[in-house]
Amino acid sequence: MSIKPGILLFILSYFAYPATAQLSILPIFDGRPIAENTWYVSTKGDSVQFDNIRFYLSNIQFEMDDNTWIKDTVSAHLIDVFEPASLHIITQKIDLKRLKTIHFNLGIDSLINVSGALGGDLDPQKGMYWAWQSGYINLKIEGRSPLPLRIFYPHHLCF
Amino acid sequence: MPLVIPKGWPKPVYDFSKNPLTKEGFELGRQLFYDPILSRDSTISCASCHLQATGFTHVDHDLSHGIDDKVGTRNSMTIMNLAWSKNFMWDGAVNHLDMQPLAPLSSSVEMDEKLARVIQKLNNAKKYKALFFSAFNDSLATGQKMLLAFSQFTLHLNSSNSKYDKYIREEAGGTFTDQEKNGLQLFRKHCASCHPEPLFTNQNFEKNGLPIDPTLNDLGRFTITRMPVDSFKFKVPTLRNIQFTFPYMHDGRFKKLREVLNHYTETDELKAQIVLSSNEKADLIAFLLTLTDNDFLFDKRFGFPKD
Repeated sequence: MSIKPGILLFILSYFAYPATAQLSILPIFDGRPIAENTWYVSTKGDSVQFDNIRFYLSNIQFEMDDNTWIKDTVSAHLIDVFEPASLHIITQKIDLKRLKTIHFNLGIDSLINVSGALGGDLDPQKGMYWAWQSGYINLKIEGRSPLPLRIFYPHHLCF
Repeated sequence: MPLVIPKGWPKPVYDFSKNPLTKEGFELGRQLFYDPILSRDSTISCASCHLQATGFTHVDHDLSHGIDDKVGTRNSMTIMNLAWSKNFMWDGAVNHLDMQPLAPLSSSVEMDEKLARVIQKLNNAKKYKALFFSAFNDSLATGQKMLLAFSQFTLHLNSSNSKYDKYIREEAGGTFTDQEKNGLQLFRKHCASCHPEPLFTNQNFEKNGLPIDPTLNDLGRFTITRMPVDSFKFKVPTLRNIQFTFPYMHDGRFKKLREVLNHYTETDELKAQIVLSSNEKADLIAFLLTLTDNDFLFDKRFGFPKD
């Protein structure tokens, strides 16, 4: 059972608020929003169900129309697909009319990976850190499939 | 309580600006180091395998054992002068001192516990509420704070007051015998390329010609880098306090220093063959014994915290 890369999509959108920008993430699989206890069919024809999908969005930067870049004040956000609150990132004040592009990393970059003990979403107690070999888990997908065996499959990725 | 950098030593690798050392942080780290609460069934503490009197390693055990008497695959490393260490573990799996405690904590043959559960246990313990508050002005334990406190403690475990150090500094108690002087000369000629003074490690990973133990099949640094050139390479350990850190090598296969020297003169896998007479080996060992630092091994500040 393997999940074909690319079938898990993220939609980024933003809404205007008086003071801040909100980045919303809508995780979808094969065109359908991802929900718990729901069966999906992969491109290979396997049935899959997701128990846990977590990943980091880091180094969010807003490129403005005058080519200035505004950096998110938080270096990394832990997104938990089944924790609705984590799907909305509130950033600092942005003039949305002047916004050209949003840049971000999926996962944690090499600098943060060698920076020692960090807090907030980067606290290793969040379960997104490899203990046996230093480094963050960038993306974690765990779930189950009835075929060919009733198996539990964890996919933990780093780059 | 800033760290005192011994005269003539290089600049530490650890970035103290991100974790300024305090007496309270040190004390919290010390309590954690000696507390079996870190393990799944509260039987194993860091000190189970890292005993102060033997340079913070597991004396007499070739392979260290942890929870449920499970046996690991390597000899526990010493803990000293870690502010100068660029990487950690025999294979360099850990890239920062702060993150080092996570490995034994979660290893199924060491403490077999989850970090989130440890934090939960610490937050339920009255003792730790007070300790975290005094160290961080906030009683809530987090993974970050626990790891920073561990570093506060281990960063203080520094050995720089051996007879050798006094000899170099020309201080009282630092008079070398002729045998020790000859041993130092032999050391500088044959050993110092991998074990340079003053840290007695070049911090690299080296292949030292040990035949592989087929029951362990430990490929060392290769396990981490997956590069064939790193096969059978292990971190060069410091030699400080070597008198008490036996058994030696990554798998603890040698009990005596004489066996270690015999290996190095017998192997033909080194870049340059080491030739030493039996008397020269005795002199070299006499020198290695001058690396014993009793001030460090018996410093009460580093011992079990008695209430």
